[in-house]
Amino acid sequence: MTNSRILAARQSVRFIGSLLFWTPVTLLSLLLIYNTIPYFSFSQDFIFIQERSLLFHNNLYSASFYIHIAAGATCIGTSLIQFSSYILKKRRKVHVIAGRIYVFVVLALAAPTGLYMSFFAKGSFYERALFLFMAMFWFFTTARGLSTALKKNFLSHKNWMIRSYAMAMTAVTFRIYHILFFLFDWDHLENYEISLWISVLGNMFIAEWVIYRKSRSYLKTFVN
Amino acid sequence: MKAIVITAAALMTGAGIYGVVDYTRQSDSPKFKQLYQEEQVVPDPPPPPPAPPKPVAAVVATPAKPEGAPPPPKAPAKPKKPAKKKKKKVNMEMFSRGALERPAEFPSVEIKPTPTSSEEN
Repeated sequence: MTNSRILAARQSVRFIGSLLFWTPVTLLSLLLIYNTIPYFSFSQDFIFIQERSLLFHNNLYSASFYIHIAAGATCIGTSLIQFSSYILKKRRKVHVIAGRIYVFVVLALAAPTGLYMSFFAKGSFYERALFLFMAMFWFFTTARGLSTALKKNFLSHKNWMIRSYAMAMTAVTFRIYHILFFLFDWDHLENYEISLWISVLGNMFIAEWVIYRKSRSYLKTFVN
Repeated sequence: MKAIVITAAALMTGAGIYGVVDYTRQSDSPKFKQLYQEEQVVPDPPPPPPAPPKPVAAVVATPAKPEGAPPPPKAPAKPKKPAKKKKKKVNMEMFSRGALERPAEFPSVEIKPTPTSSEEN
């Protein structure tokens, strides 16, 4: 009786925890996608484009930008349903199709365009290097996630996809930190650079922590 | 799937090489060096208003203060109001990678030459 109560309490805590995590993540992801849509008017009247007006004269950069934002919005949208255990168990086909879209979009579109644009990113040499690292790490983790899925190694697949998703979500977390530091009256460039570093390193740390938590019981088997 | 990964790896390599080439080609231009430099156009401060001419004060004989008299009580200083900070509003459009505030821009005002008296005639 006591055990069943403890189990029920644990389940409800887990449910509330996942609700507290996934509700803001979903809403902010949808907000990011919503804010991407106006860019497809191809108007130059956006602060982001005005800051880089010189770069937008280059057709390759301009094309890379529009491909990158379209691909980014698609992969953030598709990844929202990928971590649902309900879809994974009951609608496996949906998981597979959305996963294929995510992998194709990241590997063929978002990561290569991101890599090209990283050379012209805002900030110092270190921020450009960080963008370069992000593009390569995103590509690598997604490719590893795909190869492990093809080999039916689903535990490893899940871990690599968590890392890949953490990289995709830097777009969301960066904006949160950027607005937060803006409210603290931080200088724009300083704010931009620090938000970028915290979002990338923070997301990587959170991903590793989630992987560790999820595979703790599996790791314990090695100890005993 | 393997074909996609190989194609994507080729794309990544191409993007990397082309990025390096494009960056080295553009990095020498002065316009590129000025990229992202924030310029705030601030108008010149208005000239201070001319000081009003001092009236020629008539010399009025003031009664001499007796020595050792206490100084007149000073008027209590008004407590300074703390400067109000502008509250920054957050809206959904700010959820972007762009700068959150536009640099200050002031519209240029054309000043028409006023007709002189000789032109009027």
